[in-house]
Parts: sequence; structure tokens; C-alpha cells
Amino acid sequence: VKKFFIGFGVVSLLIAGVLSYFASSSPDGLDKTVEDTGIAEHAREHPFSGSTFADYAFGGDDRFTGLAGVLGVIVVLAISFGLFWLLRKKSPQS
Amino acid sequence: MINFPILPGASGHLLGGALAAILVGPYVGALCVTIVLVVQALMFADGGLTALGANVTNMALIGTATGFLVAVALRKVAERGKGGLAAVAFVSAFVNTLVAATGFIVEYAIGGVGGVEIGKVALLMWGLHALIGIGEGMITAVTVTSVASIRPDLVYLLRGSAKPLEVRS
Repeated sequence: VKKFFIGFGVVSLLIAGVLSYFASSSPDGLDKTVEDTGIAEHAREHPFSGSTFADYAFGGDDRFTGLAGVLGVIVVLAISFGLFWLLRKKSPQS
Repeated sequence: MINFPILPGASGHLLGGALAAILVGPYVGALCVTIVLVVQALMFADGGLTALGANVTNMALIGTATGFLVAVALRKVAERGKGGLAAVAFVSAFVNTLVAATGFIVEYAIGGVGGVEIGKVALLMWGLHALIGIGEGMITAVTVTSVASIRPDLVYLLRGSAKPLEVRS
């Protein structure tokens, strides 16, 4: 049982830490749509665009994309564990 | 985070609704996608803060619900074996992507700025997301069949049909 979760974690970290370097930097479907139609001209800058991990980098440095990815996995896991622990069904006794 | 190329100058990324719904069910699945969207918007400045509501509506709620409904409708096929499960995962993820894109089109028609003709927005969104849906379908099929081949009891869609767990001491 534990093996599955360890394997699951290793695959997640590899995808976030290594595969992320091969991600396409072209605009996604929605970005492309709003750019081509001019809707994007009405967009404002993201309030956190200057934050440490903005755009999956570290202080604007793309060489740390893998680090940003790994931290993202850890943060999502931590929040999920916390939330689902709070939301768990409590047994009627003890 | 990880965008795959679909055309020169355009890419797509996983939305994850069908994937989450097939693996953990629609309610927990919608929460999982929401957590990812919130972390992406707050920590990585990917996805606007004021757009977070629309993103959760389209990808976490509409996307997950659509993926789940399609997968449940095709459950008989999914229970036939690995190929069937892969096909169901692919189709539900493809439909999930197109319907989530439709969510944006409807929202733009209701309250979007810029006054762009809605047909133009719809055509671009659907065209691009049909291609993205193929990527979404492939990722979902590979992930779901991988989990199913090791731990079929962890696939929500197969609950009740998977072989009972062997009890080992």
C-alpha cells in the first residue's frame, strides 16, 4: 500500500521537477483566443506578478522552474492533507 | 504548469476535471482541482485573482461535473478492461475540455469586456480546445490506466466492479 503512494510521489516530483523544463511557453488556448481577438488589451497585470515564484521561476530566473514545480507539489499536498483531514468523516465514537 | 504544444504559437495544459472525477469522484475531485487553481493563482501568478471565480467555475465545477457524467454514462465500457477504461477516460477528458471552454464563451457573452463578436470567440475557443482536449484525453487515459493497473480499488469509477482486495498479513 505504501509503495503505491511513494511511487505516486516520485512520479509527481519528476514531472514537476524535470518534465517542467520541456513545457511549451506558447500561450494556452484561452490566452491565444484573447490575444487574437484583442480582449487581452483589457487585461491588467497580475497583482503577484513580481512575487518570488511568479511564472514558475525563482525571482524571475527560469533555471529554477524545477524547484518551483517541486515546491508547488509540496504545497498542494500539504493543503490537500490539511483540508481533507479537517473534512474527514469523524467516527461516532472516540 | 506544464503546457504541451498544440499548434505553432499555441499550447494547452491539463484542466484535470475528468481525471480527478474518475479517480476520486466528483465532489472530492472538484475540491482537488480548486486547490490546484488557488495555489497556481496565489503562489505562481498563473491565473488571475479576479479570474479565480471563473476559473473555478469552468475547470473545477463545470469540467469535473462534465467529465464525471460522461464517465458514468460510459461506465459499462470502462468495466470491460484496460482498453475500455482508457477509451472512457479519453472521451470524458475531451468532452470536459470542450465544455469548460464553453463555460468561458458563455461568461464572455454575458459580461465580457472588449465587445468582440461572440462567434469569433467561440470559434477560436472551440477550435483550440478540441486540440487541447486530445492532449487532455491522452494524459487522463495514461494516468487512469496506470493507477487502475496497480490499484484498481483506488479508481472511483470502478468501485464495486474491481476485484476485491487480497488480504495479506
